[in-house]
Amino acid sequence: MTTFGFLIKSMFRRKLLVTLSMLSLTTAFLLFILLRSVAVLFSGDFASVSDVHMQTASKYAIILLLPHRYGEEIAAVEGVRAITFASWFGGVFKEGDDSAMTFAVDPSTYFEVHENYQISSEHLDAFLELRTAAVAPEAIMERYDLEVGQKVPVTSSIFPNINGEPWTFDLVGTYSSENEVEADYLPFLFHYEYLKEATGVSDVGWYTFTIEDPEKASEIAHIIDSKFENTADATKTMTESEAMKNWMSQIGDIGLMMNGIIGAVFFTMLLLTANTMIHSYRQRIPDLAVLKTLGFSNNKVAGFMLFESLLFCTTSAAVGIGIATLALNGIGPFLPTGFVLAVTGPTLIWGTSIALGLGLVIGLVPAISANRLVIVNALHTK
Amino acid sequence: MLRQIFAVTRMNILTIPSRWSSSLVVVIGIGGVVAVLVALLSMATGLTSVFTSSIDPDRAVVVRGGATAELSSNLSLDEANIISTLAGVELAAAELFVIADMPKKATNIAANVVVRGVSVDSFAIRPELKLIEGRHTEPGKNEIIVGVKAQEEFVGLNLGDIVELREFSWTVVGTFEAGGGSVESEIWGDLSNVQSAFRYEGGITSIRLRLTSPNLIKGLAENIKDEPRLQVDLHSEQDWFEKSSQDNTGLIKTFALIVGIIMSIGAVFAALNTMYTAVASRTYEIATLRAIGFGGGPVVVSVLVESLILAIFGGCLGALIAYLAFNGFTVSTLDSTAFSQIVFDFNVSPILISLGLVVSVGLGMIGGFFPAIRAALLPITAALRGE
Amino acid sequence: MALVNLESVWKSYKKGRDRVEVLNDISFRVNSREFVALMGPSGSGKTTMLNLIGGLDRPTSGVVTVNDVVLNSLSSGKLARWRSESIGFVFQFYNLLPVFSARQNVELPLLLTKLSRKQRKKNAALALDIVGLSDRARHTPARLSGGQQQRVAIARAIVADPKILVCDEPTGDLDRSTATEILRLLQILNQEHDKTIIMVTHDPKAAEYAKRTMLLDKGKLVSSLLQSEVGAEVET
Repeated sequence: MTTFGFLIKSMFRRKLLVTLSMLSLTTAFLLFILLRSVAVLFSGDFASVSDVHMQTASKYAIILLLPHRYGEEIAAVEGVRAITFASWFGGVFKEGDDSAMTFAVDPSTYFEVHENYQISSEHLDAFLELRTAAVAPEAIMERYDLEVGQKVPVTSSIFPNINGEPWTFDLVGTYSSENEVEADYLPFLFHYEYLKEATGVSDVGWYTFTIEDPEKASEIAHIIDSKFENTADATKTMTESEAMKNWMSQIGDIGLMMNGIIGAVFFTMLLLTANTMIHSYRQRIPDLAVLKTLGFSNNKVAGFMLFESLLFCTTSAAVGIGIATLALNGIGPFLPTGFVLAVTGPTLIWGTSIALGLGLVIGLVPAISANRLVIVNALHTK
Repeated sequence: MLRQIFAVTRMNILTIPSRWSSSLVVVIGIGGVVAVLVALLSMATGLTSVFTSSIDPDRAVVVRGGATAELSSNLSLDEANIISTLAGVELAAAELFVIADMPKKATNIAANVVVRGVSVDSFAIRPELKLIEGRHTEPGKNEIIVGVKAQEEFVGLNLGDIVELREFSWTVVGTFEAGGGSVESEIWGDLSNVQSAFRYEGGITSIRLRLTSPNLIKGLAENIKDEPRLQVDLHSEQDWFEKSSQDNTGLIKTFALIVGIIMSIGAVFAALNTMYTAVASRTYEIATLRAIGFGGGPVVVSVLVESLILAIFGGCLGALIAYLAFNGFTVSTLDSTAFSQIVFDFNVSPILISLGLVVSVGLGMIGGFFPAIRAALLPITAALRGE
Repeated sequence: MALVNLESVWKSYKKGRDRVEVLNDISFRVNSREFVALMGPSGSGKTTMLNLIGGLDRPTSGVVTVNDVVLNSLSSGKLARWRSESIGFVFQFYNLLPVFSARQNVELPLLLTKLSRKQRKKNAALALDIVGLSDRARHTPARLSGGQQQRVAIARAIVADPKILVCDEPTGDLDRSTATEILRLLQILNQEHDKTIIMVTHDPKAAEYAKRTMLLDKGKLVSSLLQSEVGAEVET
């Protein structure tokens, strides 16, 4: 037997009660992680989204189009490196499903600007070559069970095909992103020229470009926006991370709700765990007195109680976080595209800190009482 | 038997105060579950009622063929004229649905708001819409009236305020309510003014219809499909809003369910824990009762009753918290079909409260069941010896 | 030099507003390898005196010296350390930890030493062997009889090889024949293992196993007699 083994064994003195308390604390941590990841999604706090990429869209509403000639004017601004554009197509792959991320783009410049996207030169060549060609990211391929080489029918309520039939694209390749979180947000891409030919549309949705110095982002944004300020098509230029935040803030008060729920959950579980610990402490008063008699010092016995509380909380947290990670991976495919729930680094740090903090707070009272426990009073309580 | 049950139950309940801290855990644990569940569902029902509260069976919406939202529709005034002459159409109002962005009060970050260019008949078709402040817009002037919810949510939409929409300045001349419907989150202006400001010269996005009878909707929709001059779809308001409501509340409902289930599991563990402790702390009394001839049944019932009492207390507490904290609580979110902010109130309805109580009873039953069985199976002699 | 030396020891407790005098100017010595029984009516201060000797409690005034260490001046941490090295305790209600097996209970005090895991295990087994319970090493206290539990407690008291055993009514919860076994065991520990034993008891039959009996009454030492002298004293 070791001291650690001794502690574990005394902690499980009442197996059933401790196990039940641990399970309920585990579910609390499970919920915490799930809710946090939803809150993170809605707060748009993606550390991973690039600050080098900027986008220029209509000032009035992101759905309004911008003139094609803006591209050249933005490219001429100092500090802008490479530029491309895209239009929201709102493609629906399966009847009754929501529209998926589908962009009409200029294939030759799109992958130059999005240098963090990975596409094989073979697939890129095939994409450039064929007017009706399209490339899809792994997430969309999986979701709609697509294969490279097949024809993909897509309908759009924004750009209905003239004959009322679905649009058909030749899926010639796939691409991905270095960044795992971003990988789930990637759009289905096809030739803007094809759309233009078929519908006569000549404006584009938004421009995306890279800049040489991320520090100058707001300066460049200002130059571009003031260029078009007094035209009918005024613009709004932001870095991608700003844009993402802005967009998610529209979903609004949900993040607030999440934090409220997390608060409720934690209050409940603090109470529950504290109750268990105090209960466990009371039951063990005679045992603690025996330990002291045998020569375990006050601090040592107090340390045992604190350690037990910490162990109890961190074990529950670890199990809860583990289950949450598995669960998030499991439900990923069932969420609408664009919704990615992942256990992020900050969430993990939060979870761990809360587990430790909770362990300390809850263990404190039993630890102090154990420290002060007077042997002669506590021994003969039978 | 009944007297036995009563006696044992009474003994249990009288000892609750001496175990108040662990009993409180059950009350608060289950209270938390019920509060969160009811709050989330009241959010979903509140959002649903925005779409469904103003549905009128006499009304229909016409949009471009294949369009699933006004946002992705465009029509011409000619089409509106043709439709207004069709048999069964009592009133037809051409409307233009556009989006502007304005800072929200809560965040001061710009969010989308619907600007609807309306015709005179738009008001006649929606009798539920009432001005509660100011007056209607006058033709030819850049004036707007705003829905109460939009006024609540966005900066600078009070009576007399000047609002910049595109390159034009507009004066807020009135505020309206519309029976809690989604138009309360909108800004309304004269169709022709909105058309020119938003560069939709002559264009509209939808036509609102009032029919002479609700039975005509199906026939009219088919007639319109066959009409070669028209590339449009006609939807009853019922179908139109139900789709919007489903799109918007589906996620919240799923979410409420998942959170509710996980929290319930946690609460059941807490309840089991407490009831096992309760049984353990009374081992001696229970064994004494069994020894003098009480049956196992009354013991089971008494433990269940105690658990249920605590659970129902928790349920009431949770429902009360949800009601006090959230009923009428106003929030806004993105209407995914209109691509703009929709403002709504939480609605803690009696149905949701009863649902919360049913859940609490269920949790109490499960939490009490296993400890009750253990109490009944207690070996009497061992328990009496204090082992 | 005496192993245990109490000099003018006073002990009083606060009880509400009153002060209760428990020990009233007590001085006595116990020599190495003695087996002393402390007797006296309830409330006479036997257990308090035992607690003072065992370093569980401190006197209000006076000096308690055990094994050349003045206990009054030790901090509670040092006192704990001292207890683990110098004293073995045996209680009326055994005070074994219920989740642990007999061997683990015995091994407990050794967690405070620097002994290796293997050595700890070996010493615990040896202690159990001395008390004659090797075959019950894996049993938890609930599966042992009262006498067996007390043997485990004694094994735990001697496992760290202290010079002194302090026993508080070690046979108080046992029937006569089991009590006799325990007392014989203590006698063996005293005679063959050189343990100095101080035992509180209210049972004259138990006291017979000691070499000397001290009688306390109302906090005062009334008499201190060798075993041969006790019989006459009790009869008068």
